[in-house]
Amino acid sequence: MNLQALQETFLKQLTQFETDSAFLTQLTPTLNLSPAQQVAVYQNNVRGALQSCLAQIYPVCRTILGEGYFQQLAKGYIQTHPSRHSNLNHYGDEFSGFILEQCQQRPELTEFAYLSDLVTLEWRTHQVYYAKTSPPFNFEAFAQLTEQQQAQSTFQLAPCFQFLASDYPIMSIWQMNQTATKETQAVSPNAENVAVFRNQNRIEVFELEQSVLNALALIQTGVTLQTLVQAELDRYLPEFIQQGWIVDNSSIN
Amino acid sequence: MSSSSQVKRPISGVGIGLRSQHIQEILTALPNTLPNIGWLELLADNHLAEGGLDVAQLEAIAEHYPLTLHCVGMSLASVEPLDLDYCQRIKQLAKRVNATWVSEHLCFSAALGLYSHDLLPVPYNQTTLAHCVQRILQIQEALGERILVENVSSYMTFENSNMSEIEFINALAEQADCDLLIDVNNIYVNQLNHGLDSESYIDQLPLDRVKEIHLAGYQQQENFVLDAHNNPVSEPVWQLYQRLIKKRPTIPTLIEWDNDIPPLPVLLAEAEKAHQIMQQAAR
Repeated sequence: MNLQALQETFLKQLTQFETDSAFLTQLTPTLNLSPAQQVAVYQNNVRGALQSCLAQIYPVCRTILGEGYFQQLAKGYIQTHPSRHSNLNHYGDEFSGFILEQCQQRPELTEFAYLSDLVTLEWRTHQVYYAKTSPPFNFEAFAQLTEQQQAQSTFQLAPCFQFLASDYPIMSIWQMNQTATKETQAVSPNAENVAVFRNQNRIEVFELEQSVLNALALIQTGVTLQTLVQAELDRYLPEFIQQGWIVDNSSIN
Repeated sequence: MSSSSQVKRPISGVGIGLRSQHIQEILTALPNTLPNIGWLELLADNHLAEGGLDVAQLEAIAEHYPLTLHCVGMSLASVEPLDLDYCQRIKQLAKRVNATWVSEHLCFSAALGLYSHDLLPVPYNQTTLAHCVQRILQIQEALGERILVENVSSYMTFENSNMSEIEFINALAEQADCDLLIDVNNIYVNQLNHGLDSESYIDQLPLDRVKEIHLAGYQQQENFVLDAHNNPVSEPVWQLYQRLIKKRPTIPTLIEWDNDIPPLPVLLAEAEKAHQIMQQAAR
């Protein structure tokens, strides 16, 4: 087996968690490990690294499910989702969809229908932490546009601002699980919209009113100021800009 | 090279690996200096985001401490094309924090577009050597500077390895004209797992190229030892360190702790111990 074949076969075993008999013939026993055991050491290392990566990104999901059950699900995810990026910070982006499937398939998870949305919230918090800092909205450049050009302007949401609409009270559930001594009161069954924003050096998670979310969702689709005016949602723009949720006007036509 | 206009800050004494759990504590301690910390080493791959909290924090820390970058993603021994985008991002990070040098492990971590995020060994033979030499030259060209290559712990032996690890490393450093980062714990782990002669290994090192030493703790498993970096430095590793540092007492030394990370004072106590040994060696 040449170097390329050796490396490719080695990697496949670490992402598919199977053993390749041809690869084993390329190994000799160490002092205490057979060839198969040697491969198993690396499989455990890889699995362990990805498990702790998921545990770090999804602490609330982990708290809700309990350490053992979370790790069991994480193992299942890792089995079917090998890492395809050199940066470990990108790993776990499809965990929400995986959790949704698990909640549909596993009877013991039927009461956790909200969990997929909560996982999305945690992923977005993770993204916001590492998001690029963008320059603030350029009022000066905007003021120099003609009225017609302003009407055709579109707006850019800050990469460090994310939001999420949920049918479940995910903000309340997220908040309840932030402290070591969890409050045990029943959570209201209402749907909640949540925003995550990196404000200076702090990550803020807060609830959004439906009308605010509607305006943000419309802006995100790239509509013009004229469309926002027609939808009577332009009144939110000054506040969004002041908060830093809208960052630049580079996309002005 | 991108950082040519920056004056590289000298690295000396004992440093610690900077981990996210301690960043806030260190920032709070600024501008006062922490005792006996010569420099801090970043796990570069954790800080490659274009923005975010990390960047602002690192820039604040970089104003007070010399920093070095320790990489895990170059996949130095990989047969896949070199990830030039990754090298570029490392170069940018090095420039941003004015890193004194960049180090990477003698291993591969990716193939077929799949990433292990682990340090995977390769056979030690002439074919691998030629490949790694060419690859390091390419990396050094991309970064515009010489890199430090680190010896790794391994749990695997290949049928077609026909060079010892130290033979391989010496030939590699010579032919690629790179520097070395010697992890004493890794040498000892390989002694326990493979029967390697640690003292002989240390005695054969090309000291002019050894620019940094790593010290860490391993974990005993049922039938092997794991380079878990989750324990204090073991006594045999301290002894091997004494042997190495006596030969060249000025080699900067780093305490590396990556898992089950303890409170900062525990790391500082380990650093102080290394500092004492270094001081004794210099007498």
